[in-house]
Amino acid sequence: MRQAVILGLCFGVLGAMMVAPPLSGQSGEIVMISYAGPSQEPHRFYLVEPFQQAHPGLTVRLVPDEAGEYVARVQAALAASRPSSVDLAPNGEPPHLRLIGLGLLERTNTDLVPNLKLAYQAFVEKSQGYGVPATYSLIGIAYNSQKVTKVPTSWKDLWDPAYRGKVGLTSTSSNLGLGFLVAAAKMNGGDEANLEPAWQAIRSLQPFVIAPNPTALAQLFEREEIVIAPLWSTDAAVLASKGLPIKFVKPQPGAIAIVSFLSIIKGSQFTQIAHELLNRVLSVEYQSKAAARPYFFGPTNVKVAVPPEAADYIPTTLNEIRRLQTVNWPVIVPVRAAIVERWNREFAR
Amino acid sequence: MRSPRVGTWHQAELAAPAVVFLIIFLAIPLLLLFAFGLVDIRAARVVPGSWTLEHYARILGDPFYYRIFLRTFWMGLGATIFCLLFGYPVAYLFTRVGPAARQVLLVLILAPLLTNAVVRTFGWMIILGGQKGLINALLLRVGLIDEPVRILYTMSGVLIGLTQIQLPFMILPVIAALEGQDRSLQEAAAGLGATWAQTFFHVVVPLSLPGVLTGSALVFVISYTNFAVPALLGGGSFAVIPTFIFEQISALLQWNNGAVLSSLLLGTAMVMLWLFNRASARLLRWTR
Repeated sequence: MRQAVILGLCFGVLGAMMVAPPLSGQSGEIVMISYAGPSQEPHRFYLVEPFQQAHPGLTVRLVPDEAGEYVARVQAALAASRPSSVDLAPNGEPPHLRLIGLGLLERTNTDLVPNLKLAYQAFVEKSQGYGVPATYSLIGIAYNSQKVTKVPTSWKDLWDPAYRGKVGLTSTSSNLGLGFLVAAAKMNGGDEANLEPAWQAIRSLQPFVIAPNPTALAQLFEREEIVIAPLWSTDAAVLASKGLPIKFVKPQPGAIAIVSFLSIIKGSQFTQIAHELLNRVLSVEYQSKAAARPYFFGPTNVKVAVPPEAADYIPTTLNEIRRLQTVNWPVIVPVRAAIVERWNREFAR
Repeated sequence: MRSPRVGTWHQAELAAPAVVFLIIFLAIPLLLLFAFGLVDIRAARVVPGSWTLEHYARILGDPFYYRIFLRTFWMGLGATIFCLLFGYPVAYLFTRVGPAARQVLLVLILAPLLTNAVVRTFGWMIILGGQKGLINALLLRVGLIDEPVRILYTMSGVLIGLTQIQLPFMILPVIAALEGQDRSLQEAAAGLGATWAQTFFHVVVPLSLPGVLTGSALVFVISYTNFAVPALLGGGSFAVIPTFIFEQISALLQWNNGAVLSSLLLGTAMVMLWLFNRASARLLRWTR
């Protein structure tokens, strides 16, 4: 009898642990994926704080995640018909398309996002009805102006023998790495469907330093492990704002622009109220703060002008916008896993 | 007098919570993990009736993964050897000093365990990283090197991080083994004319082997399966199985590959522990 009671108690406690609802659903906590490091600040100061003030019962927890590590958790929750542990996430265009394909994004109810009318329609179209185009950033070349005396002007300058062993890259599992791969392909006669020239070119760039993610790559500049690297304009701007001698250029034949969409994740318990965050991220207030020093996120709201001091990081003229490279992501995204595997096989040490 | 049967039942009662806990949270997940390699998984859902050996066959038939497993093995072995080299003298010193010094040493040995391994690894990034890193700055100032050497994002960096983090797991069992030694044996050796070195290598070290072997097994397994240190100190292209599993599941959503590699990592770790135990039993035959 006693054994049965003890065993029953054990199972009871364990059972209770397993069926207890997740705390986040009850405490009014919205979980939003964000960037790592200082790039997260616009979300924190200009999106989350005003939102929380408007909704005293709700809190928004920002979780830094640059490699889409949350996607596996969300996918597992959806497969098990559990609520998602993540409510909103910003995704660059490649993962945005991938998440649409996986059925992990909630369609946007445009009635709840009146600011969508103020967004550049070309960007809105790219969203395919999921999330909103929150910002855009450029992939260009960042360099240490004290160590690199010849200002780089073209992607080809990364291959200058003077920088051998001092070039930094990230794996193709990040948008940065993927974007650079496409730039390298186009520069060498390839394109999205023919990446072979890129692999050859990157192989000839060895030895280079491979950082696990873009934030870590930016940190390599701080520690002077590298002097030149393809980098996000926003990360380069943050480095420069810290007083480091880091400059950013939009190399020929063009920097790569990647739109970032803020989307509601399927299975979120906060679908309705999360639309307010989508609306706020498109607002003039948020967009102008995120476009200002030191972040220089590209504004997607037509009413927000690019501040003059952002000229090094965001295109300011129509001509400059025309020079930006766009990538045919729908061609790349389906073969992304194969690209990452190829990267590992080529460059894993 | 109690019958042994009653005693056994009472023991079973005491162990029941742990056994139930282990079955639910260890045995079943491990079986599931193994099984996830034997079925097709699409969008995190098992495709019903899709039993296949293809996922295991694909990975076991690919020399690339053998290279990565070998690298992971060297990482574990390297950390074990360095922990032994650095840990043994500390353990020996501990048994030779007075109570006050012991207190200090014990705090120093245990202090690393009081902070999170990830935090400590971030500390290493600052010490090892770049021209401004502590080690390079020091070596440059002393004039041992002209150009900063790359330590961060190399196997050396990973081994430095692992060794520091796993050191207590080597030192503590060795201290236990050294403490258990009968000092009169060392005195007898000295009395018979043995030098300090002869006593140390022929009496102290052999008698401490059980501790050394326990510590080595612990350090090896924890290092062989470690994720945080290679992920942070190894950089973006440092390929060992734990970082690979992480990438397969979280970046690529290749649940099958993740399950197969996890099962193989666990399986190889168990086989190596078993081999280690057999080797230990041979080495320690004299203790029986």
